[in-house]
Amino acid sequence: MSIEIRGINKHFGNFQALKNIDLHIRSGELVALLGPSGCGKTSLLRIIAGLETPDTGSIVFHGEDVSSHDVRDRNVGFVFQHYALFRHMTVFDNVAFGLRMKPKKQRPSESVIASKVHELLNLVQLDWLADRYPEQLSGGQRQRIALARALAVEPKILLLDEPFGALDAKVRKELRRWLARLHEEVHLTSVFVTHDQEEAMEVADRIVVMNKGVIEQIGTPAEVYEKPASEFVYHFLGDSNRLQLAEDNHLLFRPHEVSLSRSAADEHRAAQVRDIRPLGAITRVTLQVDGQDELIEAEVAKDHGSLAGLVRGETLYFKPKAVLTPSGAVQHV
Amino acid sequence: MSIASATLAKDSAVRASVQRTPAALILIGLAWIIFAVVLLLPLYIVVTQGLQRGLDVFWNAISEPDAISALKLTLLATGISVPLNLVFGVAAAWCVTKFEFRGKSLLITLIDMPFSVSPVVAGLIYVLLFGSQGVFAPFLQAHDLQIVYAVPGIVLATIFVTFPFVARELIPLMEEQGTTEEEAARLLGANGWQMFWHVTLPNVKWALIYGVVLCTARAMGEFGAVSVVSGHIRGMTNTLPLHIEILYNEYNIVAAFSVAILLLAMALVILLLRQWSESRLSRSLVRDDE
Ligand SMILES: Nc1ncnc2c1ncn2[C@@H]1O[C@H](COP(=O)(O)OP(=O)(O)OP(=O)(O)O)[C@@H](O)[C@H]1O
Ligand SMILES: [Mg+2]
Repeated sequence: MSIEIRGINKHFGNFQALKNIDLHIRSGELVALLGPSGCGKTSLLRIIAGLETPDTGSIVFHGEDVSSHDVRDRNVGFVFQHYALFRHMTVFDNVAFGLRMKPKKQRPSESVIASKVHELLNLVQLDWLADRYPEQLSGGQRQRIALARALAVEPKILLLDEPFGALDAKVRKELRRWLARLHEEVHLTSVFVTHDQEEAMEVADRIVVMNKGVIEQIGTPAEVYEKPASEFVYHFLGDSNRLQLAEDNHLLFRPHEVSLSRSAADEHRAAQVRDIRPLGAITRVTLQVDGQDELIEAEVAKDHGSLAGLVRGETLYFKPKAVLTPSGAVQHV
Repeated sequence: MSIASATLAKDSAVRASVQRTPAALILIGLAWIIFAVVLLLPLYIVVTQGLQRGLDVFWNAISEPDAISALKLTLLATGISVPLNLVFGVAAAWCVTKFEFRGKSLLITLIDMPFSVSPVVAGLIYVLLFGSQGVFAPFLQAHDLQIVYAVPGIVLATIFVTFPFVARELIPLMEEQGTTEEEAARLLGANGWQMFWHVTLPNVKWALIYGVVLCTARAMGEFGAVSVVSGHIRGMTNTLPLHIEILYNEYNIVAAFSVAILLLAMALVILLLRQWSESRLSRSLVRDDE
């Protein structure tokens, strides 16, 4: 089911949380809303679900304007940032809730509900926890139960608010791969919120980069990385260096797109080595350039020739291999 | 649950180690002495005074028609005011904690008003409104309605003084729990009533029972406000506390204390209910903290 977001504006008091949001999400797509804290990601997700009413604009599901539809008529699966499991119900009852709330005529029998719940619990690999209460689960387990609960009513659209936010790095990684697989199996249209660019790049078909209530760019992970629409997007999608050329002229480039040399070379600039950090497969060298306070970071393979016997204070020559041009695209030089 | 009992076990371990110091022993001894003088002694006197002429006299005092009618009126006033305040309290707590609207803080302050207004003043308000010189007097006379110095006045006064109990218990808890579980319920297709019944109510169950118990205790024992609107008509507008006062003023000490024992027994039942609901409430709070 496709989602069409048209001209959404939203104020909280005098503060404008969303400005003219237009976004088309195709059926079956997995889209990430990426942006810094407070940029309006949750607000947009809540507006799609119907939990919040926009000041202007409309939400269209598969050609049907649902702006005036109540939350319960939109049939949207929603996973909250902090799970929002029903604390006085067992895991089983949590997952069964949506089915039991159906009007009498559509409500399946208890035995059908039971088999459906166990099927979902198996899907999230937590069937053995059916009789526990939410408080007796770990964060990652709660997260998966919240997902199973949302999927029980067979929504066509799944919205996830920072689904992996509260988890440690390893569990996060596992869960997001698992989510990507699930998305393919169940075939939903999914939108998930994150402020972790790596997560967005790894899981999403397309990324919507937001900043201060506006959409900065919409594109595939490769597009937003290779052709950032603004300096903000460039910064947000990875580490970056700024090299001041003149008063009002600077270059932006990524630490791993730097060529290093021990001796003066063509187009290379001299810099002083401030720090050398071996980080496993790569080594990060921090450089100080004359004429700017901001340090430059360069990341090269740990066996790179320029590193042999390098010590702090030495002079090294560097040259950006790819820079962000003022016109937007990343240019390889 | 195991966490809760572990916490309790730790608490009693801490308490045990504190008890051993001499200062603590003295303080605890003092507390017991004060407790005995201020609470147990009067209770003992009430019971011995009431029973001094034997069980027959006690039984007669509490089974004579005026006492029975006072008991009935107390139960009636309690039976009407507690359910009404239960409904009101849940509705008020619900709208204060789940919605944003203008005048919300004013409403919260108003809910508390019966706590800060003297019960006598509360009673007088009803006399001024519904009495023979009152604001609504012409209307009431035209329709031959009697509120003050009659049962409706007593019920109204009881409702007024017990107004805040349920709402006061619920508001902090519901505020802390927020609205996301309700939102989750709606997203899963629950209608307003289902959401309230399956999600909101179970989450506040113990606080609600605790509030009702407090409300009941106060409704049964209320003297001041009811005294003003009652008119003290024996067998008609006397509640148990008022009946006790009348008997006492007539130097009918044994009967007064006998009826007092009855009221005391009712209060004890409520107290036990309160103890029970309180322990369940604190246990569910401990669980929420985990
Ligand atoms: N109910 C509300 N009342 C007032 N302001 C609000 C409300 N909800 C959100 N805001 C404001 O709107 C802005 C966007 O909030 P939102 O929750 O959408 O941010 P977010 O992008 O999800 O941030 P985070 O990554 O921290 O969750 C914030 O500045 C926030 O303070
Ligand atoms: Mg958010």
